[in-house]
Amino acid sequence: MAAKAYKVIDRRSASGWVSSNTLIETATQTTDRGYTPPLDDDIHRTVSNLGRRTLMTLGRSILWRFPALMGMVLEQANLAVSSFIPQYTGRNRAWGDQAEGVLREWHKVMDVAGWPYDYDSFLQQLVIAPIVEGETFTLLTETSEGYPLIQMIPAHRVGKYAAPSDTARVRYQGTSLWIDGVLVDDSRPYPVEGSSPSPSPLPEGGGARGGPEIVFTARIVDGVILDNYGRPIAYRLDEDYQQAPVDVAARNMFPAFCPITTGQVRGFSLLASSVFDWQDLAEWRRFEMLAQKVFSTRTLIETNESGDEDEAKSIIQTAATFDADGKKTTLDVQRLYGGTIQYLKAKTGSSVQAFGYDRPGTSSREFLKTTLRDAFRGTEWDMFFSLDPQAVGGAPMRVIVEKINSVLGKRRKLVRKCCLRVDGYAVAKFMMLGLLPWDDDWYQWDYQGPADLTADKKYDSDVDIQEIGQGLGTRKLSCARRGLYLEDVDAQREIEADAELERAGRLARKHGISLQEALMVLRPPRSSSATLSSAVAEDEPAGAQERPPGGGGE
Amino acid sequence: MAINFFVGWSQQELEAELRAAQEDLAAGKSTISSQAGEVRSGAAVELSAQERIKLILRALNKVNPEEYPVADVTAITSTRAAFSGAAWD
Repeated sequence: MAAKAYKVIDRRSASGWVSSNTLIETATQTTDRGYTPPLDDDIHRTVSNLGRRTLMTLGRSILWRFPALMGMVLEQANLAVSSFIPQYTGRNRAWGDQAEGVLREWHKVMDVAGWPYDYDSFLQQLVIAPIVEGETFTLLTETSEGYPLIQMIPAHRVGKYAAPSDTARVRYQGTSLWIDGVLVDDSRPYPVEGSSPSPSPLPEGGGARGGPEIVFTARIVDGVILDNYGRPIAYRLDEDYQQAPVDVAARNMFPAFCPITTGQVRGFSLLASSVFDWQDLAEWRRFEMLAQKVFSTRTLIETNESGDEDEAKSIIQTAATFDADGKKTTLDVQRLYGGTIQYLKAKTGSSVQAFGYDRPGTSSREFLKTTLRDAFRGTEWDMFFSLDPQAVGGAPMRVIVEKINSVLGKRRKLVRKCCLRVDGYAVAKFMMLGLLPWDDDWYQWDYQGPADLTADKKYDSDVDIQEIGQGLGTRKLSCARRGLYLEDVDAQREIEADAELERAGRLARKHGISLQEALMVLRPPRSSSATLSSAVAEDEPAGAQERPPGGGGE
Repeated sequence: MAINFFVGWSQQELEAELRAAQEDLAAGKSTISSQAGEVRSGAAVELSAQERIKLILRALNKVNPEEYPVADVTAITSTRAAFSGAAWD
């Protein structure tokens, strides 16, 4: 017989139970270290709109002041989306080929900003902006003829003047959405999650009628107008301080950022945790560079009894010049000759020494390196991969490359999501315009990015072969790591095999040899003749090797 | 702006002091001691004759730059190297 579950009795006094932090010491802050104010609140209450924009400012600033940081960010963009080709994954391959072609052409002119803004710049921005600025926005728009276009909206334009007290009056009815009395979406297919339906329509007109009316006061957080569940309804674009803001429905505009904390409606610069370090490093390097420049202005230090140059002993080619106040404006120019032998008086402390300096010292450089490494890690990237790959050995580099591939995968996930929205919007528009026929799987797309990085291509290839051979891996996975689609690879292999057999057949008929012999001639040479011989022996039917050259056809 | 240690002295006073310093130097004195107030080692000021002359010359340049041009009263303490002279050198 199974025992009954034990009923837990939690006895309390009239004032509840006595609670303390005796079990976990760190649950109580002490004066041994700086006090951390409470952060147990929604993310937008712990980072203000001004704070988020300050991070954007600092991120933008430091990007252009620190070459290693600029290089690291561009490196991520280059490696993540050097190619990112849409691949139709639906059932109608013919439609897919046509749609891929249409998208390929559209990508050249997709941005309302015109040349040189196109699909490539769009992809780059989707990687760079979330790291540096926290996010970027994409507006789905169209020409007057309904041809689809996108517009990149930099993050600073959304909620620039947002205040914590901002709210918006939202009204939804039928398929129409109004914000503060302005129609922002006339074809919203699902209602907003606001207050209970209102029994009577409000005087604001326009848009589709019918269905229950939903009216409520929506919160605005950092320029994002939210429904009752914290889902964005629209984004508030601040044109200018004097002008009224423009609200764009969230169905027509979306941000690109990777949430780190639940409840985030805006992205924070990924440099946020390291920007002080980057600033300190930049200033430290600049000051140190000034010191180095000052040091480098000195060459020789001559110590003598008078403390000055004796014109009777040296050759002053050009005398110093002075201004009207008696201040020196140029130095005396001393002529030097190769092979000079200098004589100094003994026992006077006279000497000539090369001016030497050893700054920054080894400890400073180590500290700099550690700080730089931490700053890199704050953006998920690895300093050794980016700046100093020689410093680590082969095995550690393979681990680093695995991590880098993981980060690149994460960057591509965000780009893929954005591309799906943009290309899905464009394909839908093309079908509406008749530029593409209808297809039931029109929304099924994937993207072919660049191949994964590898620290040792041959090693990885050998591992793939072994794992596939032992059933521990699949060809599909290996192809994906190479930036290839198995279906495409197999299709191409079939084409190549067919062509090879065709050629082998022609050769066999022409020279009176077997198909296998013709194939052997066509195949790339093996590593040794022994291998070739054994392969022939395996491939040939019994007795074939005795056939005289050129004799007998099939 | 360099400090003029003899500010307020007339040209005659400076030239008299210059003459004295030059005579000290010519006589082979390496240092000149001067004391103010009570004689205590801590209040003694020792200066080489050459340094004293340099300071007086700088002061004279301030009083009469025509007679004591700055180029003549400024020691060369740093120079810039040149490895060739004029184009024909």
